[in-house]
Amino acid sequence: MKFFTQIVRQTRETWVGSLRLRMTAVSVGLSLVAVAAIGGFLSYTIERNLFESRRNEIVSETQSVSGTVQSQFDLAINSESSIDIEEANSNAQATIRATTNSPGLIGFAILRAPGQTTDQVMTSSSSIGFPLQVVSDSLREAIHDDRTNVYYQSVEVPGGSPGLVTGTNLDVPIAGRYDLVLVYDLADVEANLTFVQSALVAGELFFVAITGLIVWLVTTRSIQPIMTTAAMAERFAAGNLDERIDVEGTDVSAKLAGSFNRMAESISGQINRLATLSTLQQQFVSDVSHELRTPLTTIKLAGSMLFKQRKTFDKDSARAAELLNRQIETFEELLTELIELSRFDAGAAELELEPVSPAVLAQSCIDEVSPLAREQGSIITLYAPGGHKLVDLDSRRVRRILHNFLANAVDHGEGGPIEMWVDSTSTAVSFAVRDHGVGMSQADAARVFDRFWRADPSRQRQSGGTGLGLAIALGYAKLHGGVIDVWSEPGRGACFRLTIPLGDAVDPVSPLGLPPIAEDSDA
Amino acid sequence: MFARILIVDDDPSIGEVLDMFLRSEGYDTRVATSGPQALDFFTEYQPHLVLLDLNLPGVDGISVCRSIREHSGTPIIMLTARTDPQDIIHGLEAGADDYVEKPFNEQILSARIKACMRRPLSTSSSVLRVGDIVIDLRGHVVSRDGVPISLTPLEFELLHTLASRPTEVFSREALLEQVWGYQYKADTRLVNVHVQRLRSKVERDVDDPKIVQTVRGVGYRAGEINPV
Repeated sequence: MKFFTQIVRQTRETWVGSLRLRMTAVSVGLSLVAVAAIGGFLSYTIERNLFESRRNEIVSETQSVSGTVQSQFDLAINSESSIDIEEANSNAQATIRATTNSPGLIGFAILRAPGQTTDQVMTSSSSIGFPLQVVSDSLREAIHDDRTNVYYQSVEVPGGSPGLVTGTNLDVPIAGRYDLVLVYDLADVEANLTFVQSALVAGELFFVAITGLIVWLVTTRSIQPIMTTAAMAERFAAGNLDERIDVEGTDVSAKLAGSFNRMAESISGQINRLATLSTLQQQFVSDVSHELRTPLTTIKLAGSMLFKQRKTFDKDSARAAELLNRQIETFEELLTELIELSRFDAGAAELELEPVSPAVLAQSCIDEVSPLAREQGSIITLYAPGGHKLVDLDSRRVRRILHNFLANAVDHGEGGPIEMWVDSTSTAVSFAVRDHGVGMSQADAARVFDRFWRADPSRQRQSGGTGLGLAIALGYAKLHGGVIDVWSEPGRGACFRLTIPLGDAVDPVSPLGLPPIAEDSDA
Repeated sequence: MFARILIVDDDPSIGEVLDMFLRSEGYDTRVATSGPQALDFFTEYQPHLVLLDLNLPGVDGISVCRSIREHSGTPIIMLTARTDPQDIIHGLEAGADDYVEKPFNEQILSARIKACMRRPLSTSSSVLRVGDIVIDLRGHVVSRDGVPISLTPLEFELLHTLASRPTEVFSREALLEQVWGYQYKADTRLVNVHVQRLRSKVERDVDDPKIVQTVRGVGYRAGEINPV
């Protein structure tokens, strides 16, 4: 059953999928109907004509034979008005044998009509092998009803072929009425008919096949440009921007190819322009990165050497060295993040996936931030109901996102507890970080991903921060096809949740609530 | 005796400030500003460690790195201003032991240098076996069927660490800590690239490693000791 359904499904797919197949099948079907109608009509007409002409021949032969035999009987009466009935009978038989020349005569019989009393009785006689069973009562009644005409009936003769029985009345003097019955085998007519019909059927089938072939070829020829165009469009879509169709002639397919080529030209031109721009921007970012980093390296080393020796400086110079040292760090962080962001903007960032355990990754991020958190009085707890199985992630970038969540939680957590969750399903892995600090208004929460936006500029930041962290985190999440959701209420803290789809999942449901509720917490 | 460090950077101010800093840390230093000069100095000065800028005019840092590696296992730390991940991987593949990204923190640089210098000093008086490989810890020689295999000190240390606890799987992070002396820094590319380099030297078939085996998603472990 399953196998059958599969076949049905496959057939349907092939049917729907191939224009050529459909066209050919429809034309073959229609021409089959047409030739069946024509052939049927022809066959019927030929059959009728063949049989009719043969029947007429047979009927007229019967007519003439019966006429001859009748006059022979009439003349057999001698001068004493008597008749040697048996002699007349055998003479009649001889005459019949001599005068019938139509092919297919199986035999004849002279049968006494029943229900009469006469002076003399002539014995019913028949030729050797006469199939008496084909002479039906209805035939004999018909002969008796109509005494002058020849009556005929179609029968099946021994051997199975069609036959014709003719009968007519004979008036034998003194002996009364007799039926002259002749049986003809029409096998030759049937053989002719079969031959004609087979020739007809063969011709029809040939015609249908030729029609199918022609339609197939014509369709193939006419959809060829469409197929070529479609194949080319596929390759084009796959990124092969140099694909073009060869234009031949001036017909509609050439027009299609021409239009398509012009479209491809225009698209690839645009794409190349954009690609060049992107490459230029990438190159620029790379150059800026290098050019800025080189002097910054010197500045940084020199600054930190001054910083180390600040105790030997006077008060103002020492303070200047401190300021210099701190601002160099901020500057460097800003530079790194700006470069990272412009790499996103140039579309140059690529994922570096490796199998990692989300729970282990989360714990390792907590370990990194914990010392700083403890300074603020915050304890970070990890809840990992899931996320222990290995999944393919860009661990450096996910780590960076989580680090940012945790650093924000420490910054804004007011020294309260911080919770981190990891969970996963077959379609997604999710991380969430919750603090119980000042929180934000809805309007502020909507702006946290804006570049250089800060929730509260007056607040002192503990873990630095450039105002670009969440923008970069969002970029990293999107690179994974993931999302970052934010929950926050003033006075109740904030929760950031990263959800990354696994495999080919699109927009999966996060396994974590927003904010997640810990089973053993009453939050 | 001061440990000698060769600084290779085309930017003279970086060379100068690094020179100042490293001298203040108690090293003997020399500065080269081009690839050919770096190779000359390397032969002449016989440094214990090379700080190598990847981006050099003329002969680039990667080629310098490769040239040094052809005949020496001297630790090389790349200085890179590029943040393109491919550059770092190319450098590591060319034989650099470690890298620091410009602008670097002087404490980090100092820690990296110390970690690299410490490496050749690890000695023990036994012989370890991994697969059909024999590690002679005292002689610092690795051999197969009596034929010595040339490893850099870093590669030797990597193999030694794995072989020292043959049943244990080492995570990349654990290896970073034990072999490179990192804490919390999790650039696993360092491990991946060096495992590849090590395999290319010690494995009979790199595609079917028997000496350094990957445990997917966890890390690496030493192959079983060959019963033959």
